[in-house]
Amino acid sequence: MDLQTEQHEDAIHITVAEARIDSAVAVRFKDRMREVSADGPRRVILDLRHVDFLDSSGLGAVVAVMKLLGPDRELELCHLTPNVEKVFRLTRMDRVFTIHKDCGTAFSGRQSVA
Amino acid sequence: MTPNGPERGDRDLAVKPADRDGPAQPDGMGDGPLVVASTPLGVRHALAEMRTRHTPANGGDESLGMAETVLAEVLNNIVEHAYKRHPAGRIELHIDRLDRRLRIDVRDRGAQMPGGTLPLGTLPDIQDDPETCPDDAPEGGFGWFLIRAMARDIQYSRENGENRLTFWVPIGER
Repeated sequence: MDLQTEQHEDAIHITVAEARIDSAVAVRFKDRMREVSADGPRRVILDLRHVDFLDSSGLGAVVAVMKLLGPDRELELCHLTPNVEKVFRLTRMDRVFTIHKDCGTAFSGRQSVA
Repeated sequence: MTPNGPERGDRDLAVKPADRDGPAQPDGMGDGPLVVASTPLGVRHALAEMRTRHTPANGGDESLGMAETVLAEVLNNIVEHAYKRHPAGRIELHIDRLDRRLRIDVRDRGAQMPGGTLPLGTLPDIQDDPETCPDDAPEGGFGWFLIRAMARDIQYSRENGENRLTFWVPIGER
């Protein structure tokens, strides 16, 4: 599971560099997210621009990541592709997450060098 | 996911025409049914094969999005439940394209649906307030909800030890 990270002032920007979050990789996705987000800033921005397929296992893994970040940190999503957006919308999980159309709206603070 | 699920070897990748001498498909492509290995990677390859065979020539990459989601959930359920005790199970997949929809027929010889009927697929309870940390937000239970939201005319039968699920999925809708 290839995750690319970039540190911002108040957030970590994590881009999933793979096309699918499905049952074959859901557990690895969760484990890798735990590793790269550990002890980081309060906000975690998950960039899904490259993900064109997310099944219910992948959706469950995203929810699990939100939970393991704990109550003091926030998982936000940005750049959902149409099929992924549809899964979030139909399952109403778009109400549970803050979803940004693109990264421009996700980051208001000054960007620091990763 | 099973501990040895996703990273096993090539034997999991078997997705092949089951029977070249079988009945021809109505779309005239002459493709036989697909035999899907009941593993997460088997499911992945079956979906890729479905896209290869059925993406409309004038459709975008997203035109099979609903079909792929529904089929993924159906196949994952068979892998995780029907064949829970038989990891090397066989799933047979028949897909016919008719105009702007796919008719999909999925057969397996695993355990039958609990109670012999399809799950209701009601949406798990969620909290609507994103300002709270929803510790009780559901991590599962979305599969049959998504199937019922996207598929039409879903029929299930169990005969002679075979589960058979048939349904329609529109092509090219969002």
